[in-house]
Amino acid sequence: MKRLFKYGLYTIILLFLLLFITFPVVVLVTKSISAGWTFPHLFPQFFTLRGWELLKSNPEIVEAIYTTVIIAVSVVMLNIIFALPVAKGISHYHFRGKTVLETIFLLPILVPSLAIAMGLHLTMIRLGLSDKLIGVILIHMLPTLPYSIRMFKAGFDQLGIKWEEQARTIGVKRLRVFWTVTFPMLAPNIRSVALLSYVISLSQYALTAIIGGGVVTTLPMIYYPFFNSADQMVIAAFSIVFAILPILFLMVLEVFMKIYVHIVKR
Amino acid sequence: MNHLIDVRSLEKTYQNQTILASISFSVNKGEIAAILGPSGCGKTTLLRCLAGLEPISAGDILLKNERVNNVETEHRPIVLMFQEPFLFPHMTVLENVMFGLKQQKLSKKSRVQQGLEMLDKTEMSSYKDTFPHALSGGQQQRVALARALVMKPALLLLDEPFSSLDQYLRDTLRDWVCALLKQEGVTTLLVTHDKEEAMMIGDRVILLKDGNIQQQGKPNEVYQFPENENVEGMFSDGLQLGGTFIPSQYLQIASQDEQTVDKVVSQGTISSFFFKYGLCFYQVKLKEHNVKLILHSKQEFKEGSKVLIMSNMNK
Repeated sequence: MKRLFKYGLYTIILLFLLLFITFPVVVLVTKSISAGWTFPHLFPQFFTLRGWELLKSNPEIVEAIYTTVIIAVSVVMLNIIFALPVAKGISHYHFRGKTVLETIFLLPILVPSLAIAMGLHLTMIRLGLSDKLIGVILIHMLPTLPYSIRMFKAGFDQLGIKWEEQARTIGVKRLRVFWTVTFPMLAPNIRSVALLSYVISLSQYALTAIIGGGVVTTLPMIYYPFFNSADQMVIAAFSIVFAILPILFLMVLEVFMKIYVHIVKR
Repeated sequence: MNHLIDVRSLEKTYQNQTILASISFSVNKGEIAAILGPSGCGKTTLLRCLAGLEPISAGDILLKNERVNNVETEHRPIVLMFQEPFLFPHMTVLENVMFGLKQQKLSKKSRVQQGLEMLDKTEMSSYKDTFPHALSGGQQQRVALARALVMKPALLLLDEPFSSLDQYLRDTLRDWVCALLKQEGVTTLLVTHDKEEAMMIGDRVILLKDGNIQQQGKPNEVYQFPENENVEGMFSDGLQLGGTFIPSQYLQIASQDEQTVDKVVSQGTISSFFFKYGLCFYQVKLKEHNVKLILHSKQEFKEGSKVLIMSNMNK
């Protein structure tokens, strides 16, 4: 009886995965290479790579992919650079006004980011950052940095300070301890921070539109207009590209982290 | 005297609370000193102060006659080992041991050599490429010890290093560590709450309670001649009687009708008995003091029988 229940549960989970993940992905991929897949036909009439070729031959899209990835990767790196020391400070040190500071760091996601972006837009124009890549990168920090600080803080909380103390009492300097012990031990948190801020940056439309002023063209900027076009084949291909970017990033990140730990240990 | 470490009136206060009040002691080169105290007596804080992980509020710490009060942890030739091994999980056993040597601008070859040598001494060299999570608790402690000793510290601080292990492992590892420390000639300061451990390992014991040193000296001297009530309770066995302390070795149990020349100091009932190390011990509940006393006797007594406690101290 118990076993029956167990297998029943597995079957339900499997069906669920098939229905909501495998099935849509298969449909999407098929859609991107099939023509004439309309109502009375259960299966596509014929297959063609026309959708993908169209996508590839469109310089605007290729350009947008580059821009998007450059922005997203910069956002990830800035997130790690800024969030790490802040989170360490909040987690490992006691000082007056710590709670207030923590709340301040969380504010950007408590206040609608559009409201902040509108105000920041004026400042960015004054500073000459609007309509520029760097301006967009900075504005993408708004919806990402608070999460990154939170996630790193959780990591530092869990790690505690003893590892660093142990390493220092052996005779290793603080900075080296950080890069060789703390940083590698935060790997799970770095992974989540990187992926989350990458995906958030990737899906920004409004913030990019306001600060980028249509000059900085990221994938979402052309994704929307594309959606209005009639060719479903191209849209399917486009969507796959969009979905594949984070997966590729995650793979590259894994490789980098492996290499990093390997170098650090030598 | 040429002490390796000399602690002079060290004080530590934290948020208006005195944790250590004027601690003074010294340890000679090659000596193993055991700091014994109940939990919360400040013994861990003392080690952290010596390691430089906590700033001290007053006093001096002299290492080889040099003041190290303001020297950063990483620059003090003092290594602290915590209760848990804290082996870096992303490094193999050998990489863990070599971790500190990297700071010393040594060639990779000599680092590996020194690491392997030390792993040999701690009998862990066959595990050199293993990751820490695959090791048992005792093995992890051995690696942690190798990682500390490979740095050739002037002073090694051990913060209850055996307390996370089970009884059997603790006993075997303790003897083994003690022998290795002696063989390497490492000056060691060990913190423990276990008085047997302190007696076995320590060339000298330092008794700490409520942030004060109660007494220090050779284990047998402190055991036989406790200076105050705290020491009597913490370290010695015996009977506290109206201001005087009678060590257990002068006490005897006698049945009520026994004829003896010894002085009767107290009366009580046998509440239980147990065997240990081939001897029979009786737990006696004393009448007037409401305390329990454990004494060995060759005579046989039944549970619940009334007995006399005799002393032959000033005979």
